[in-house]
Amino acid sequence: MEFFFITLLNSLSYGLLLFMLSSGLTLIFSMMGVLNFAHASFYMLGAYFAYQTGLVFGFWPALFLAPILVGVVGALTERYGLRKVHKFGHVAELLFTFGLAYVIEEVVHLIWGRAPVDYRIPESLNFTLFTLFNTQYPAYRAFMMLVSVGMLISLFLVLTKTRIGMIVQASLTHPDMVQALGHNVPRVFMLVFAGGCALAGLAGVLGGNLFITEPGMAFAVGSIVFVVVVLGGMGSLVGAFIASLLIGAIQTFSVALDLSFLDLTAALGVVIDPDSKWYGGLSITISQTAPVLPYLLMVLMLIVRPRGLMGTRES
Amino acid sequence: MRSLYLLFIAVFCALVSCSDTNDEVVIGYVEGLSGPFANIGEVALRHLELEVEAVNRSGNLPGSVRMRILPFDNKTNPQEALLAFRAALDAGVDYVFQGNSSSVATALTDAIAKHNRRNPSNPVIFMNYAALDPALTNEHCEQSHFRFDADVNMKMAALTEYIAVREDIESVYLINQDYSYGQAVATSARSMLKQKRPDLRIAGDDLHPIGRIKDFSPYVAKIKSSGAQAIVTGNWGSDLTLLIKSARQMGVDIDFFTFNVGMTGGVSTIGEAGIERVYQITNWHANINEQTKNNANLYRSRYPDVFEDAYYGSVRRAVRMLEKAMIESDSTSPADVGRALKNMSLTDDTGLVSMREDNHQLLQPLFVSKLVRISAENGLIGVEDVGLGFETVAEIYAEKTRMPTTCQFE
Amino acid sequence: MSEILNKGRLVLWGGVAFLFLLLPFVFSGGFSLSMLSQMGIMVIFALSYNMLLGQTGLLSFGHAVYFGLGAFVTAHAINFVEAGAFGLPISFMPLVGGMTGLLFSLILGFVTTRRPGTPFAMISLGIAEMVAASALMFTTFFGGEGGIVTNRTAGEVILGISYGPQIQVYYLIAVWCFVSMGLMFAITRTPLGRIANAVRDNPERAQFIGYNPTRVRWIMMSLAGFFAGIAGALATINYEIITAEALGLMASGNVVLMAFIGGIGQFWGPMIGAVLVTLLQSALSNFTQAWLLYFGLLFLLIILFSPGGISNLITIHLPVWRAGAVKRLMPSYGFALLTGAITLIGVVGVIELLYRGFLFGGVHVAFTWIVSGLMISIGGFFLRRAIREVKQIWEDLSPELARWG
Repeated sequence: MEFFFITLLNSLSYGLLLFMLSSGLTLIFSMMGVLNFAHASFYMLGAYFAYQTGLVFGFWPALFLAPILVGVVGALTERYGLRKVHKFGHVAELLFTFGLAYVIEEVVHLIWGRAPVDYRIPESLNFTLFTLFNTQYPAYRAFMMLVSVGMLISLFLVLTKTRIGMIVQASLTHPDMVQALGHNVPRVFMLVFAGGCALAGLAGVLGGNLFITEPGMAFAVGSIVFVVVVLGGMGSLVGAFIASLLIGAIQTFSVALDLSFLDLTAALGVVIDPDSKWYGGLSITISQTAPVLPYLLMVLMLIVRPRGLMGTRES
Repeated sequence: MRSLYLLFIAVFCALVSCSDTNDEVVIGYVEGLSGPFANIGEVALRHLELEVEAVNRSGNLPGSVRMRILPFDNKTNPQEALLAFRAALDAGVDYVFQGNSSSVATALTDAIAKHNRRNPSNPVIFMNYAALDPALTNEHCEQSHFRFDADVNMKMAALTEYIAVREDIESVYLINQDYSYGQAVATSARSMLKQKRPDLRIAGDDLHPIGRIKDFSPYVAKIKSSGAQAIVTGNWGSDLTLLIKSARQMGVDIDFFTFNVGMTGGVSTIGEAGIERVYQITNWHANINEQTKNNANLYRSRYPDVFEDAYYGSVRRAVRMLEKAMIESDSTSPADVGRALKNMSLTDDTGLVSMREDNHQLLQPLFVSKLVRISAENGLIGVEDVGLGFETVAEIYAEKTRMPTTCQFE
Repeated sequence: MSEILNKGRLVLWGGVAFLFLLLPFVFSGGFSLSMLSQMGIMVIFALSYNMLLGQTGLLSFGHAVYFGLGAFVTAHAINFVEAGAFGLPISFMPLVGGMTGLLFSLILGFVTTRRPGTPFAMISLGIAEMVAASALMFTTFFGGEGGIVTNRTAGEVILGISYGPQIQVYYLIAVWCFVSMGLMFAITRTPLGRIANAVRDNPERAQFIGYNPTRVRWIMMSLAGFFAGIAGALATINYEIITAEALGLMASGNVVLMAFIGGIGQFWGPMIGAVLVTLLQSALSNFTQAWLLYFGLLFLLIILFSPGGISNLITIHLPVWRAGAVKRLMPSYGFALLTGAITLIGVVGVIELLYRGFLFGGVHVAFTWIVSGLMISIGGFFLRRAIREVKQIWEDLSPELARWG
């Protein structure tokens, strides 16, 4: 029971972090049709910026400053990079972000070195929120969940209740019409890109100190965010939300399942000798494959239902 | 600046194929010097540089020859390593140093052995200072390969000697990265613990993909519910840091027996979370005796501005044994030196170390040490300037780590 | 057939063959020879990738899967030969790799080629992730961290060829590279190749005239897998070791970079890319630790300013050459080159300073900062003008070029 509740909480907090990461990607994708390969790099930049600004101003200002800085970098990327490449088509745009991911990682090496930096959870949040049975639940995880739920709500409100949100939504589906109505669609694009990057940056600020801030952190989450976006449906925020929680749950709960083919064959009455050549392959447990499961899910989803859970179009 | 100069020489030589001058022994440092693991490559290069400088200062090599290091970037990739090895050959390298990454070490061992068979007049010797795959001194052993660190099985043998006397530990949990190294750690831990502590319960045995887990809390929850009192793990890098941090955040008070916590960046990222809880098994750390403290200080004073502290005792032993072999054989040619190295002994800062003739594995005392806070009273030397250091809790004699070998030299 | 083998082409291919023959005499060092061998392998690999991206419009992030699987199966096959289990001369081992690549791309292609564009790219990424993860888990087949070690001298010595010396391996690679190049070029001229182009440009129309786009993509992907497998097998023979890195995401990403830097619009574009990237990776990394950064920047520059890659830069100048207008471009090119070089040196100065500053520290740091900064700002300022000038001349030229066709 204890294990179940703790794991449930963990899966929720991991899923919400994934959502913070992928919401920006979904926004960008649905608007511009670009799968931003550098999205995880903006997540990494968020963590590093928070570390650096945190050294000067402390954690709380950094919580706001770092995502803004990441947003600025994102805006520059869109204005001087993506917009130029746009006319060459989606493949060129995609490859541009692919190259950008390389460059950002190297620049991080250049500035902060290759070893992890000491970006810590602030003292004011470094305490135990409650003890469930006898496992402590850290306050910082709760804080992270709070921020991401807050972000989800405000994102929803901005997109549906404000004027700018309306324009963004309209530009998603009818960019020419919006342009004809006198709005500056390229600027809306830039804004959305910057906003999406800032969201990734925010995820970096929160994830960087909970986990670890190092140059490899972008690569580690790089492809999982694609899985979330594809699974949820291209361009659907609600879909991304569901997919994030789903993948969070799959990855955390499958860790607990120590079942393997050996158990299956044993149930069928066949016992395989540990010295057998096949033993190694058959003894792989579900928990071992946990991190691969999302990719399997993505491939299956693309084959069976390419528009994803909540998506309305294929690409 | 010096490294820049060396790099320049290396490139120049690769392009115009410098002839190997007689008054120099060229040591090729074929290691990952770019990409994600470049910092580790840099650290070991500095260790090598320090030792070679010491050898050259004493000037005892036959014919007052000097050693010179040429670095080559293997990009931590086996195939690139073979290209780098070709470049090293063109530059007249006689001795190759490498250690980070067993896959590169396997590739190099094999390539060097093939090179030696195909070009018997111009042999090369491979000095492996850190690659831990047991196969390198068993089924894949070669005459031209010498290993100066203890392999996975030897380290596990030493670690389980210690766990065997820690009777307060009644159950352990094995968690490792899902690739050959982590699998080897798990297998040897299971069999050795069963043999040395039959009463000990193995509460769990998990393998997780390497470098892909962000959130270790589900694993920690699982470990917690298993009731284990200690974790044995071969994890390194962020996989180790994240595991320890996650356990501390969830208030799981448990001992960690690790292999690699002392690697660059390890202690400073784990920080307070690991005090009195994290153990490591190594062939060297700064606080073994006065001599090792002295050597640690030497490193710090040679490189005052770098982030890391002395770590690779095996680099030191490799260079010192190379020196001794050259002096004893009165030659610098790899064929003679290789013969002298085969059963050489040396008294180093941690005691007597000796090369096994049957598989070219160095036997040396190993040390279990614990991460503690340093203070003026305990007089320990810290690492990475975070006020923490390692304190020896057990020494395992070299003979205790002698493993049976399947090695048969061709 | 006559279209494929016209006189000009025969001369061209003859020249390529002669070049392959001659290269090892010019670059005879051990390192150069190894690098040439690697280039040959990468040329096949990049060309096979372009069958997907350039010709069929399928952006794949998992092409190294077929390269790697081909390489692993070949490694096991060579070990079987050594153990005497069956006999196949090493010279024909690439066929084993090719068939492996073909088999796996047939299977995986069947389920993945139904949709082009982003879904295909994502599926290929997902499959690459899964294969890479399993390569680390299943140590029996993939050999774990040490990989699978082979001995290329396993087969019998035929006509004095033992494959011991690197030069023999180079010529083996050269022959296979030449044959594969020829075959892949021939495919572009077959009806299949043409229809693949049609499917890339407009799948609906291709379907309308009676071709099944999914089928065409599937066939092209299988063929690409075949040639990738050949490249993988050659890599096994060349390095005598194959590890899980060979089928990882980095390797897949690398071939994307090669194809794109060289240019996917021309058949020979990826060849340039393969040669250049191999050269950069092997040679540049000897000079500087920052080579990955330069490499990434080069890639970004090419996408921003010449998305057709290097081959496109060459092709757009052909009409200018024919029109005899090169002279008019020269002064502005010279100006751009000069200012570009100044800016570049400044940028390199800053990057190197940052890298080394952290590692070693130096004396003339402030001086270098100032000089580099000046070079970047002044060079950059004039470079912008130079680029404007070049653009202007191109615009002036365009009516003239249109006349020349």
